[in-house]
Amino acid sequence: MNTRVSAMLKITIPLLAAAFWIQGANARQATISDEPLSDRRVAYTMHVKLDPDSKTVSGTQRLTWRNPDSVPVDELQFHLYLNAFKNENSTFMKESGGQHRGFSAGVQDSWGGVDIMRMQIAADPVADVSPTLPPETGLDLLDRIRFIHPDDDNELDQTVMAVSLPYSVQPGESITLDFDFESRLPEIFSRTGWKTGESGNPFFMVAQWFPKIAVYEIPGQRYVPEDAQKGRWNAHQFHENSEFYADFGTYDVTISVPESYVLGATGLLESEEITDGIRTVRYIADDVHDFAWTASPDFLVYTDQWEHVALRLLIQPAHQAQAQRHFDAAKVALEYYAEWVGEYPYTTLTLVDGIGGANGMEYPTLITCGTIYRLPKWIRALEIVTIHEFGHQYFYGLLASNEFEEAWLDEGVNSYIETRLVDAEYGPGSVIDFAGFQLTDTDAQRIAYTKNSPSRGALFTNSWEYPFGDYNKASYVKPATVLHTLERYLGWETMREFLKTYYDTWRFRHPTTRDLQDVAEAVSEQDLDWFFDQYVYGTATFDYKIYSLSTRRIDTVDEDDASAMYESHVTIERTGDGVFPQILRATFRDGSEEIRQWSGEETWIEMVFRSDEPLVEAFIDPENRILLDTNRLNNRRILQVDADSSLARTAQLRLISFIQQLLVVFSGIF
Amino acid sequence: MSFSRSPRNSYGLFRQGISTATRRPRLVGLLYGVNLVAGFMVTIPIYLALNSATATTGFSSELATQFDITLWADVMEDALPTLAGLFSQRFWIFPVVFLWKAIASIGIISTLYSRGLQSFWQGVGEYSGRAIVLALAFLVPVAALGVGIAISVFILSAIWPGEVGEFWIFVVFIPVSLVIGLSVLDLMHDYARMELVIGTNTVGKSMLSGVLWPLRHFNSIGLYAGWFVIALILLAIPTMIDVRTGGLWGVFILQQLFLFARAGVTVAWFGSEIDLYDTALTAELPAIARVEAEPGFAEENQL
Ligand SMILES: [Zn+2]
Repeated sequence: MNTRVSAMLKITIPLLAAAFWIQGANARQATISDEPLSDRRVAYTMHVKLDPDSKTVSGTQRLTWRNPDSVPVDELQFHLYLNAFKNENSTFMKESGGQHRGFSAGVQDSWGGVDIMRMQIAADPVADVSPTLPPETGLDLLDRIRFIHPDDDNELDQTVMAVSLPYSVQPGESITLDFDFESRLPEIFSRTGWKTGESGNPFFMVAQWFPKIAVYEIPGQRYVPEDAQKGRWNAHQFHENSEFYADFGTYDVTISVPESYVLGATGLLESEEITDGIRTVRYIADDVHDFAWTASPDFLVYTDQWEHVALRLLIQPAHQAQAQRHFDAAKVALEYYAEWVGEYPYTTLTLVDGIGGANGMEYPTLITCGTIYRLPKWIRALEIVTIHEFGHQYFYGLLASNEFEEAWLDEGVNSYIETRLVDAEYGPGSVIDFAGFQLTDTDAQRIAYTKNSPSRGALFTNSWEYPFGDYNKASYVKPATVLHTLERYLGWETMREFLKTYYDTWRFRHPTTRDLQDVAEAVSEQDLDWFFDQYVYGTATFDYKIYSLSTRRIDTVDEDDASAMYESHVTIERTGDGVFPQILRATFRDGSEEIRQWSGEETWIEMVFRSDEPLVEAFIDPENRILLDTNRLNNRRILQVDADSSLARTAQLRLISFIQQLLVVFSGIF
Repeated sequence: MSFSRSPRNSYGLFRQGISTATRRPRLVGLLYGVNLVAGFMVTIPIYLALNSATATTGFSSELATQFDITLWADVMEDALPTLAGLFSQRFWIFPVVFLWKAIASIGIISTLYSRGLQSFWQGVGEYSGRAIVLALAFLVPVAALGVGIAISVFILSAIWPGEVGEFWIFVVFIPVSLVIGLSVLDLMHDYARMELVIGTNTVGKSMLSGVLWPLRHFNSIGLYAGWFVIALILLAIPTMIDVRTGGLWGVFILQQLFLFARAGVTVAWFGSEIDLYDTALTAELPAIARVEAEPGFAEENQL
């Protein structure tokens, strides 16, 4: 089972059965629905060819865009993301210093970019794209192109293009444009491009690669006021720390690559043929907002099936032994997300084991995972990245919030579910479980927030506007911790209903932070402004701690309580500007307990207990529900007389033996 | 008058080593005790830092039995400044261990070879200056080994690029060649010390003779490898015994028993190497010299 062929043979029989089932039920559709699931404001048809030598993708694109506004629109805006890699002058390169996610920009011949050679209003919008359409047909728009820079004053950035139309697109009407374009792929250092693999063959991750129309937001949509005269384009430059935002529609993409190349793409493989050494494949994808593909002669292909979803894995030969781990993780993710969030409506999911900076990324129905040779089973890096990237199918893919402006709605909500899922499936030590060292995903993300300047970086921030580089913390680990705390505050059943309702209500509609809060408030039937203002819009932090604990015998019997013989005092201090309702558990010598609740608003509070037993322990948040608390150790206090050295003693004894061993080994060296 | 010391087989050498160790419990105790005291000294500040961070929190016993990274992050926030300062101050331990190894080895050799006629400390007093020079001289081949491995890695990476190559180079080749290389040097160093103490040679001659020893006497390699495996097993067992598997003190004492046994192995190891050295040297000497050397052997054989 070492080759692509035998791997495919192995799965042929179960696949045939599955294929018949899919064909019978859905006649090979890209989604499980016969009806459009989204508003489908865009439709792309492309014919493109990959030239592995020049690292370019060139061809034609026909784009139909429907004006969703109630007024005419006379300008279109486009993202040309690859122009971020055009030269050192782009906003992306200036912000990143040529570095991204641990990878560097290449030296020569490795810059990228998109060139548009032709842009015309289609002469015959009904016909399919004709690569040989004469240039004089239709109206030429090339000289109407200008580059704009909505986010900064960098006039040299060419990642957003505006085109003024010679006539207005009327409300509800469509415009069809034909493009000839060439995309020069950079050597991968930020998700997209090419990289030479182990074998010397190239690997291509073709993403953010075509002239892509921006989102036109109509009045009432997202933050455009309901009573605005007209809608507006929402386009942002490509930044070091920003991902993407686009409108839903259909893609019909025909790609030609050399015959030896294995290809994977967003959507459903419609046809495949080989002529004169060229492999031509056609993919269709419905109700998605992007289209990405990958190609390499090195990929081994494995397939599997989960309910209505055909799984396809393209894996590097060195990682072949981990093929099943990919499928297992993907199925775990499909199962939990369906149960906790909602149905995955697409019929395909392609898992790509790419190279370097291409890995750990999400595209509609296609994710890049990433692993290393002989990754031990007790390090679940592969599982976590697969589950995380799959989760994006919901928050990036189906809900499609604006990742430029509200990255946390994608990365953060997804990280919350990822941690919850990974911990539920793999238990303690879900990330690393080795020789007694257990790293659990929720805890790992919690301390990545609480121990990393927690008061810096609000969730609700434009992704390129974190002055101290807090994008990762504020978009991933902090939101995960915020939502875990919200879950424990509302209860899991309410939280789950919130997730389902949020997904049902907002899928294909680009929800905002406000929309998410509205759903949370409606489902929980409570005002959550206090929570969102502090921990989503704001940067509030808090640490509640037991400042002092004392107990003493009292001689005079309390008037109210005849049995009281001890009076105990607990002083609680709150540091930080955040407030959270709290619970204190007081434990007495005989094991009896008393719970006290308070609003958490005071900067300090003293509690007095009178009882017939001395107080021996005070414990704030004993059930560990408030993960936002930046220090848990000081939540609990015992009497000085009960001081317990067992940790220090255990650590010391273990270390003594360890140092003795170390000395023996060290003296063996010399 | 017969030669009872004919060249021994491997089993004989091991048995000789073990019987030497069992006859020198105080020497074993010294080697074990020094490491125990060192471990204890180094960990006192760690004990104090952890105790002040956790003793009155109520989390102490919970943390002692199960790992909780959230709480550890809080503990470390509290104790790390103390601990970080501590570790940077403890680097003197490495030169001290280096010197101790150098002088302890010749102490062991001199007391074992003289069958206790010369004490450990007498040997140390007599030879430690030269033993330290010898140990320093052996740092040169250790450094050369490092350079050699670095060059090999450079070449291997060029002919075997990619992550599969990386795995085999970094996870397999480097550790294995380090262990083998250092062990060979350690073996040479052992016999060089014997040349120094028993053969009463100069440092330079001892080192040369030590380096050539495994080439001249192949059985020394087998003997070393045998003890190496035994030592490895004795060291691996305390690592595998985890505090969480049983009572705190019970596990500690169990670990200490193995570490004591490991100290015994050091003595036994030297014992059988001295035996091999002696035997090999005897075989090389002319008959008349053997006769002269006889009384010593006779006494040895009575033990
Ligand atoms: Zn992500």
